[in-house]
Amino acid sequence: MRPATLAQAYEWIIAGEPRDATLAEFLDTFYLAPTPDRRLALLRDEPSMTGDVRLDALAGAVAEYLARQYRLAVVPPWAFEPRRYLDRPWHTSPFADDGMREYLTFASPAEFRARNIFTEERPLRRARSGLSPS
Amino acid sequence: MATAFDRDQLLEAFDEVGRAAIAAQTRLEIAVFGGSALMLASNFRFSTEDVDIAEIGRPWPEWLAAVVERIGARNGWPADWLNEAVAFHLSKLANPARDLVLLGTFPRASEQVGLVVFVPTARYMLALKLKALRVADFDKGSTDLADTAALLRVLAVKNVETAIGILAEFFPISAAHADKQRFVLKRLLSAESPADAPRYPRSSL
Repeated sequence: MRPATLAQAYEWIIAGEPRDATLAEFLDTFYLAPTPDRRLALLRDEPSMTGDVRLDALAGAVAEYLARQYRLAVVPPWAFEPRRYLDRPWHTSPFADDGMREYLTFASPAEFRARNIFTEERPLRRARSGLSPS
Repeated sequence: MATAFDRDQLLEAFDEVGRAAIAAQTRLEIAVFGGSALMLASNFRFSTEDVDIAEIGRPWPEWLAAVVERIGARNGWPADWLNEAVAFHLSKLANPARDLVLLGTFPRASEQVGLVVFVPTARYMLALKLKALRVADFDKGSTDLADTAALLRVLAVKNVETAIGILAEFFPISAAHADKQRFVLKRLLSAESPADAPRYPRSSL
């Protein structure tokens, strides 16, 4: 079973499901959705706050990034709430290495960078996204 | 609850697919990639969420669609637990005779064979991992890094250029633009190796 919406994925994470696997399964739901309207519906409901400011900001970045990548009609407004932005930078690699931090700072897509989240150039890739890794 | 199945569950599923093929008086050959190949054939990966196989042609025969649906429904797995989405990401330069190895035949412990399963060699698997490498810890990056580190040790790769050379054998364009991979390889190759020895592919089921 996969989470049916981003909000449900966050409910599962709050309930203790592993963050990366649950988010990956939500992405499969999103990428397999047959129409733009259906994809937008998967992002429309605001995920609950988790108490982890990084995870809460990540939800906003994921929603805005997917909406823009797939040219959906709108970006869900909740993604722009102030609580969906970080005050301090988060470099999302396990390596605390200056070179990697610099790479992520430049590579991160705008939807993540605007929220102080610095990640790789094409995050959220799954085989089903149909977008070939470079 | 997120889907995750382990090696035993997957081997049982393959047994069932093999029995269905025999009942349909046919034999199916598949190549399994990604996390499921590592889970089946390594000693360092223990679960996955789906099974990526190389394209076997559409539409699937009726018997295969039926058995896959039946297994998924019974186990609470997604309807597409066995899927060909990875086919788009495989190397056009790979040669099945050289770059795939036999994992086993199914059903196990049967003289009749309904399903033959292959997995990529460690070299091809490392190239695939490097090509699709994720580093973000919210995005399965930690899993990718651990898999890559283990494959480097399996292949006794000691330097960045050797690893990029393996990537280039299969994905020359990716290898020409591999800044991220070079950062990661440098870190992984400079890390202290754990004591246990990773193995892939192992032949015993």
